[in-house]
Amino acid sequence: MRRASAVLLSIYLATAPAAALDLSDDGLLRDHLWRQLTAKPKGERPVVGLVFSAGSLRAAAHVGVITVLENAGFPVDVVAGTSMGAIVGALYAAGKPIKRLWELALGLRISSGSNYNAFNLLRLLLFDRLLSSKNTEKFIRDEIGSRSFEELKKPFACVAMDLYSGEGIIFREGELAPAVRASMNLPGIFAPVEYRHRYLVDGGVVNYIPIDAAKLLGADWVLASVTETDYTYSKPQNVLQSLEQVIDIRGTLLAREQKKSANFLIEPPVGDIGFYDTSRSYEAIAKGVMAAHRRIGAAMEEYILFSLDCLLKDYIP
Amino acid sequence: MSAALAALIALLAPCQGAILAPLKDPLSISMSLFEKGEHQQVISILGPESLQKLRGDELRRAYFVLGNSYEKTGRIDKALGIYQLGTNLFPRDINLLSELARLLQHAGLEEQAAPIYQKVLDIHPNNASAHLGLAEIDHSLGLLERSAGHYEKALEQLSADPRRWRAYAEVLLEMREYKTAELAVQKALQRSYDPQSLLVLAFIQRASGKLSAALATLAVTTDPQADRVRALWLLEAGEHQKALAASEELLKASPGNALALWVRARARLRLGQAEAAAKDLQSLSQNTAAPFAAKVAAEFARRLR
Repeated sequence: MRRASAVLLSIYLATAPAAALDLSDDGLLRDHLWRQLTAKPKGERPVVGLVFSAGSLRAAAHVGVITVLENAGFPVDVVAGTSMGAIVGALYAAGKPIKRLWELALGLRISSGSNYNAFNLLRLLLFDRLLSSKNTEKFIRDEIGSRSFEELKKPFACVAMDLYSGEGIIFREGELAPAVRASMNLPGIFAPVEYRHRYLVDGGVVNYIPIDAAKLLGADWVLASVTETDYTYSKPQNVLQSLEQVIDIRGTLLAREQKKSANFLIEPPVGDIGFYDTSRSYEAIAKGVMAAHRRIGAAMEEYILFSLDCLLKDYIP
Repeated sequence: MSAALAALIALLAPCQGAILAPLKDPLSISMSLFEKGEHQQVISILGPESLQKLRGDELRRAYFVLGNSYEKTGRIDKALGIYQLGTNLFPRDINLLSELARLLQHAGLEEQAAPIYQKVLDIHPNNASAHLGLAEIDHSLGLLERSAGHYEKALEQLSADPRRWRAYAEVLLEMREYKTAELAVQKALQRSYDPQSLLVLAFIQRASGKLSAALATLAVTTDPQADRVRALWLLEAGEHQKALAASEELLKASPGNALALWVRARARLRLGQAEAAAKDLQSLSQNTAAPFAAKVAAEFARRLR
């Protein structure tokens, strides 16, 4: 059998591997202009904003998107995120290496950001005692320390909603950890966070894809990574699941409008991954990689076309 | 390719010599025909009735020969069906699994092929063809780290194959692991001094900031793409006169070539020949074979006006 496999291998080897370098006219020109554009410092080319949508554990796909952008040398100048996208965004803006982002995404548990356990879940269902998302703050501090927004390597903003006023609040200064916690504080499950005289819940309720937050940070051109749900996959079996479903549907409706203001979208097909489906973290990241890989050439072309004015300056003596 | 297949069939039939003498049973006849390249006849002989009479190892071999015959006659859907049936009956047969995965991969169904290669690796963790298949699939899906890992495993057994070293180097180049990529492509060049590997080396050198070394590498490669790449990179090196001359040469050989038009337009702009540059850009903006280049040219032409 071993000899048979060896012969089979020789059959396989007879086929040449597909060439990976894009040597088409468009491919070569894109690569050429890309090098020229990305060699420019931040002030001499349009500011690129990277936006991460909400999406609970589906947002692990953002890590896959970041991986592809980094490999392509995409210049990300400012970052914004909502809910789970705020956590990924905060860690990325703090300069966490890609390898660590993968480890964190793969190790995600529901209890990573909350005091979720059987006892507390029972208290929630029987006595209306909401869970606490305090562990999110601890998670952020354990990873990047007690940093403020101003101390991050890239400007970053995240979004929460004030339950008193219904306003979407964009945080971009001050202490980071409580703001990120507020951004991913699911209403109806986690107790609202009291911070800066506001009563805050998950930003995904009002601002699923915070493109406006990136623009507030100065982004001229925005690439959004969107991890929407496909709610037709799930049939809620209890109160919690119904609540999650409603939040997801609301998010999808919001996303539909917000997507229009992004310059470029990457949408990993993770819609069938549930709120707490931690066993599918790797799949979510891989889908993020694949979706971004398929679209990265087009994203580069869009950014180049957006930046032609600053390129033209180099061409005329 | 066909010699290798014939050798495989021979290996799969250890007592083929004894069976071949009378040539009575359909499998022996099919194998003999297969070796002669009579694939259509193999398909007619190994019909459903013949297959029903076969058992165990004979049936396994019959599926293999039949699948290959369908593939050779260009009926890929039929070949896939046969391998699928075969792997359902013999789920631990590495040869049938490998053939099914390879066929799916080459049919562009990479996401379906990957779990089958993985099954092969579950049975035989060092199977080089499965590692290669997964390395190529992961590369095309963008899963670069995993692809590099599979190439490393495959290269433990295939270290003599320069094309695999080159493919590995390309993955490393995309991962921005320039030093390792250069080492890998040097391994390819040590095994066979081929123009494609030199081209990859030039890309690695340029990516690691050694543009003049990259241009020197391009100058010695005979790869047909090298002249186009070189003309473009001369612009990056600020050698506008040379770039202009290189683009003129390219346009002589292929008038209307999109990349050459771009290079000439840019060189002309830089050399103060704005009107001629605008003409090139105008002409490039009509190019339908290179839509991105055409868009860029149209925008530049508009701005120059």
